[in-house]
Amino acid sequence: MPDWQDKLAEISQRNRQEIVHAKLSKREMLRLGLLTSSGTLALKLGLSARALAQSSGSGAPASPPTRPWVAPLPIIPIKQTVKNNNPYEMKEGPPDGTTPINGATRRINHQFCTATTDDHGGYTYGGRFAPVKFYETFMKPSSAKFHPDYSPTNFWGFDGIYPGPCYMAYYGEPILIRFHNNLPSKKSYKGFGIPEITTHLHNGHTPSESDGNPVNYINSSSDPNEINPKGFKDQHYPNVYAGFTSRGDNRGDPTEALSSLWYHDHHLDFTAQNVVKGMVGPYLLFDDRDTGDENTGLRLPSGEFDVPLMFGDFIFDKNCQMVYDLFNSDGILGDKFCVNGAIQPYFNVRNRRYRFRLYNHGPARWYEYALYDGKNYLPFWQISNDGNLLPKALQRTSVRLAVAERADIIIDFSKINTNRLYLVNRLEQTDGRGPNGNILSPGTPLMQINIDKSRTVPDPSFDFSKGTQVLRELPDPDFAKLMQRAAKAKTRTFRFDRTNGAWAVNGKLFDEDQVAARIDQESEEVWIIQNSSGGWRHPVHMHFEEHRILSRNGVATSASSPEYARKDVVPLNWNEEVKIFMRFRDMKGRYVTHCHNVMHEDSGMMFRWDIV
Amino acid sequence: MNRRSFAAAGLAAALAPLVPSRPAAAATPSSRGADYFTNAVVTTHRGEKARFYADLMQGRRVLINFVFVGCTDVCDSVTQNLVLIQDLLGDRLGRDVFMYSITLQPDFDTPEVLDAYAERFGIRPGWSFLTGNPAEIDILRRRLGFADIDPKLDLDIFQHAAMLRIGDESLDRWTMAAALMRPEALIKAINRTIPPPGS
Repeated sequence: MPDWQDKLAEISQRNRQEIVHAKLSKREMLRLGLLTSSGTLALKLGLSARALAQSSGSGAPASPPTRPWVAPLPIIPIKQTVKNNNPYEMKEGPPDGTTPINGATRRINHQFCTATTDDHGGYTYGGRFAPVKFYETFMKPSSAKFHPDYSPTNFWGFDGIYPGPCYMAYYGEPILIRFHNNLPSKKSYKGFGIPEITTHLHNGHTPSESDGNPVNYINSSSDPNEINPKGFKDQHYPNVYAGFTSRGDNRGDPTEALSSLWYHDHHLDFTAQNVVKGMVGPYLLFDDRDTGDENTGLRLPSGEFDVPLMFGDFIFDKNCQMVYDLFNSDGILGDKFCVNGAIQPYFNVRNRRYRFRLYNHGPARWYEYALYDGKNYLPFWQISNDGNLLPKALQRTSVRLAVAERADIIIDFSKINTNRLYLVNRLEQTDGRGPNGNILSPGTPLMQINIDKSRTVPDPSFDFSKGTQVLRELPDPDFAKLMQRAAKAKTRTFRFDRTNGAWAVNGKLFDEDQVAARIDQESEEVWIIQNSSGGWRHPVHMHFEEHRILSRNGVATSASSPEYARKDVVPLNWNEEVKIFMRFRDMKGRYVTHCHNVMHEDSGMMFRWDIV
Repeated sequence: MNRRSFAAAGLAAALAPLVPSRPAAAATPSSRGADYFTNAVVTTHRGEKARFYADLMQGRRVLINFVFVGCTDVCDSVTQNLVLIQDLLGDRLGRDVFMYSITLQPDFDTPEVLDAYAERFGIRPGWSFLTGNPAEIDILRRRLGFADIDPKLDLDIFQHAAMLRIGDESLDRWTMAAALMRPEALIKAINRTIPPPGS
């Protein structure tokens, strides 16, 4: 093992200054790509030294170089139903109303949909939320170029693409998705990632057996077992607003509507590996306000002007294959920034308003997005937080997203007096501890945007500069009343910390059989989320229902804050105590809360809670 | 981006997603091998010398943790917990799975000291306590992911990671679990990563 790698391993994951202090020779630094030929230090954004050490076999510690703005932004394709939306067209036959759980060692019935056989042996679908649309997706190994300068990179994808296809779902239209695990056999597959899957619909008000619980992973079709001989799992998404039980209807409370959800693998101990492997994708929900048609409802930009953007950072070896440091549980950062699977792409837009749905799929990096024209940061409208529409749009010049957070923004390109600008990330982060507090100027460019100013185009979408409109009332519009409710609610405290090198909650590591909280269905609770560390930040995600952030370190959430919203991720900063208000409605079963720096999750920073 | 590609791309072009550009190649992870794990010569509590990668890791399914005999903190609890894992592994130990407990204090934990420690806990064949050159042991500790990112904490031996590295070297499949988890939960984590033969 050459000396320089040991030196670098010893100064694992530190910043430039510390690299200088490590007294690496110029030759060693050149070899590592830390020094450019002109003698200045290259900024290696959080490249893990342990990742470097690991890639010694390839001899290429940093990702191969790429030219910016030569790859077009890939547009994520819209997922189509099975042929004729006919469940009998599904591979392996129509759904039978059951789904495997517990590592495919048991099979149970769906809670809210049934499949009954008729006299001819056919199935009729019923239950409280009988599926009206049927999809199937095939998780399989694939490869694609992440950049024109690269040779194809191997990955695992839903339908063999990264990001996976975009679901367009509608409230009042329950759906069923069959996830086929066509990944390689667990017995022989070599490399990072585990070829078992459990897909979590992030933000979804989903029955437990379809939630993608970490223990509900299923085997590959190459590893058949008695319970799951064909290697697939049916998941049922009711697409119903929370609160239908107390209202006694099948609709729920429309103020609980969700918009920008996403799905990703959630395999116990292997979430991070499988997410980096490519198993993520968007899932959009619409209703009679957020209609998906810019001529109706809230008139938000739609069609080709409604663009999900999934951000992920990667390290590639000299053969353009993903490098994953299997011995890093702090959080892995990449040195190549991808948008929808392309490294630093360009996007040609028309001279009108767009809705960008910003998704940070991680695994460990935080972003602060801004639009930079070379001189200034340009304003835009933030209309959602975590994909839940805000009460009204906020004009902003940046939006910060911890891992797994989302924000929808409206940009009016017709009001921008230039034909070229850049989407940049202004947060500095050098290791898995989270952003270090420095704001970069101008920041790391993520995507070039070229505006075609040569022609005017019709734009029926709502102009936020000409007036305000209520996007979505909050379920608890009166904050003082919400605080009064909270004062009467049961309180639980969860401390996110590190004990003996392990990520823990209340000093405990995730244990699938230990229930940290048993919660009555239809109850309300206040959870106090604590971080006593001054070095680490944790994006804490709760499955099942959104919450409201009541206060941070005792300071109540301001009505003008973007956090005056429904949330499913709490970015937990240094030495913070965050109080949140939660509801547990409509369904029973097991769920989890975890750190969405997915390396921390895999290392144990997760707990199970059950609605009983 | 140059102007030509801008024009060629066209404004209305619905750009193709990342579709497979060729049949998926078989996964070929760069072999970590001795370059990564090193062939540091270590000595077991039975006094045997071994090259770390070639003799102890290559092609094996392993459970690895770090301890030291003089630990007044969690080491004894960890070792006791792993004794329960040893029992749950049954006859897999030494055939299908190998356990290594590497000392954090090689200067003090000689093979004799480690042997007495192993004797005290009833360690069976297939589980080895390892000592060696301190600098080489420290490289192993970092390579196996047992270092703290905070240099101050990392220097504090009482803050060391009470974690268990679980892996299959031949498949390059690695994960980590808390060594103090309930044994029933820990064995599940082990079996998820390195399932018993025939399962």
